[in-house]
Amino acid sequence: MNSPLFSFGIYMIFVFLLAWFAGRKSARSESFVSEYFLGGRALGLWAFALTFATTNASGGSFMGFPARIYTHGWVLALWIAGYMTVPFIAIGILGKRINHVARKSGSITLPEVLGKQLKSDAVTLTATGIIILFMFFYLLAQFKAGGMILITLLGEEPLFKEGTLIMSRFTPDWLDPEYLLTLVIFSIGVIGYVVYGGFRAVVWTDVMQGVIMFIGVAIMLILALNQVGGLSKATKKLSEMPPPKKGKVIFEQTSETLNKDIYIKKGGFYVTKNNENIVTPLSSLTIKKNLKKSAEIDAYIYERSLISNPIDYISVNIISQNNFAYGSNSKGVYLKAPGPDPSNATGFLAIVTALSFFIFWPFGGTGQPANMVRLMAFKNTQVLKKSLITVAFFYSFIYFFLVVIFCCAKVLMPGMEANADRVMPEFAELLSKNAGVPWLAGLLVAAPFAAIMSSVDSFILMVSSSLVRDVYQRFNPDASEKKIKRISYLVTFMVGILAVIAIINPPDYLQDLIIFASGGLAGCLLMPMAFSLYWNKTTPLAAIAGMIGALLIHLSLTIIGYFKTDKFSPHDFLGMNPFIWDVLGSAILIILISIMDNKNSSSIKEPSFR
Amino acid sequence: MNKDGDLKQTLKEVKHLLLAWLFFASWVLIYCGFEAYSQDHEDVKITLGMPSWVFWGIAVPWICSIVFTIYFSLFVMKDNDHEEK
Repeated sequence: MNSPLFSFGIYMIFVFLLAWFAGRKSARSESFVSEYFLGGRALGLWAFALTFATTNASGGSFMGFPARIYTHGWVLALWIAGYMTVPFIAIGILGKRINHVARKSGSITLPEVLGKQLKSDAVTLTATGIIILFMFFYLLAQFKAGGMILITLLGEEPLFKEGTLIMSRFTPDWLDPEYLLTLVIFSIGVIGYVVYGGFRAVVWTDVMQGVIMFIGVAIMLILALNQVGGLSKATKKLSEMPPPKKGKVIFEQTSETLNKDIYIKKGGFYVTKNNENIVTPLSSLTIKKNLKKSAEIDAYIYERSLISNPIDYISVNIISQNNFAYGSNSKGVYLKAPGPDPSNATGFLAIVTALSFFIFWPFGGTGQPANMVRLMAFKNTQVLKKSLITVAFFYSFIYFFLVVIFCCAKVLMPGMEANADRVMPEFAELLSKNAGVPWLAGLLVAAPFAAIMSSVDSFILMVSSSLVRDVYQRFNPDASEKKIKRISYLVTFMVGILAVIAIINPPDYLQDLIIFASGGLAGCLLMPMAFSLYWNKTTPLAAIAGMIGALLIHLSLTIIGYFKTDKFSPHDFLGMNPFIWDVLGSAILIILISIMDNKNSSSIKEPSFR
Repeated sequence: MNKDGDLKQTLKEVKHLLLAWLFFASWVLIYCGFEAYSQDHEDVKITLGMPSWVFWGIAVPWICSIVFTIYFSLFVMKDNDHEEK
């Protein structure tokens, strides 16, 4: 067994031990539903602060975000800057109030809080439908990311290779047996501990995962700064790096390779015939034996001096090459806004887009149902106050220093634009190897894995709690505790299994689905929840209109975006994130309909408003 | 504090938070809008190893936001009277 895999295995054993203890505690609790889905509403400082922080930091924080830093440079500090306000906005705006209202009404789920606050089953069911719809997309993306990270760890293991070979005999050609095997391993692990341990297992493992994420970033920061020779040196070197060119290339067989199949690896380094450039293809391909050359494929093109150890046994010809749409031939472009961009002529981050993200990160985070549920579970205001400070330190450390680490990665490990999504595990491996401690890579790779697991577990439980509490129990109010317990286990298991089946053959536009789902959830739920908690004139009809209105705006912008770009990508009207239009539309609808429908508002005066 | 007082106190806290968000958003976006987008690429000033606009426009406000969070948690946010201790 390789040493990274060994340290990663130890980490996983700890996760399962924690889940086992949590499951035993849940089983002993008097109120199963409150314990299983909300941890008995008694989360203390570390449990609440870290489960909140890690649920929000999904796989994207450790996979997609580093890839963007690597591709666009220091401007990502501005892109993520809104996170400085996430702790006090996402926890502070709704925290105290939602906890108080949920505790008083005995609510377990978010739709239940809304429904009881407005005294309307229709509100509960509308919110449940929206959560299940969007949350499912979210789950799919996290499962895929989990499977992909496991490939990094297991890829070279003989046992895993054998397993892949066996799997390939039973799977059709369109399924990747390597991915399928890691997906199965990942799913068994996560679904197992969520089903057994419920919310408490999710929280306890989140705490451990938060610690791993923190330690992982700290070690990577020290190693990266040490190996690059200090941040000033890294920034100066980065200022001298021009963006690569993008173009089309053809691979050709040589006389030595003509009688065998040649595999061209996505992101591999290949020298051109004239020895002046190196190309890294954007996709993998195989040149069959006796075929002289490949079809034209897209690739990044670098100067020869950039990479010292390319694979050079195959000949490659550049057919065409183009500059980046913004930032080519301009040194220092990685140090400035708007940052280089291969396809956008105005650069990566226009100032209006930066504003849009400064709104989206804190307020989008406030509207995420998995975050709101956690706000229902802390013990008292003392815990909330200390957690605010803890989360502020946690996010500042993680997000700001990730920018520093992956600006160093660009200098230490150039030429990875074609495979930027893999920059995190590759850099972890490089740093550990250079430091002479290869086992450390297992711990470092555990950080993004922890981020993915802490999101997957929360989302599975979120969907299953909505189905059990807001659908099953609503129509079966007299069901016994024992029956609800069985149903809860079964539904949680089924939600996980359905997500796995749906993601067996993952679509390419998965990252877009995440953006679609997270923006949609927050856009549809934030305003109805905020108004129902703070404005006693809100009516059930207005809350439903707010949710449906935001849903329609979100879907419309996504459809317009699809027709404009031919991709599953929402349209940023006036350069602003669709979430902002969802929230605006939702707020206007709630205010207008509440005023028009005000004869109904007197009947909803819930005790917490008196 | 009675229940009505609890709601009023929470609303007061929410106003503090929204004003703080506005302050930090203005600082970051106005400063970076001028400094990060306007300079010549060839001549980027560096402070403590990072581009100067990142230091003054992001790192410093980020530290200030932590100070604000500590101040808010310790001195502005109040406990609800009737809650579990």
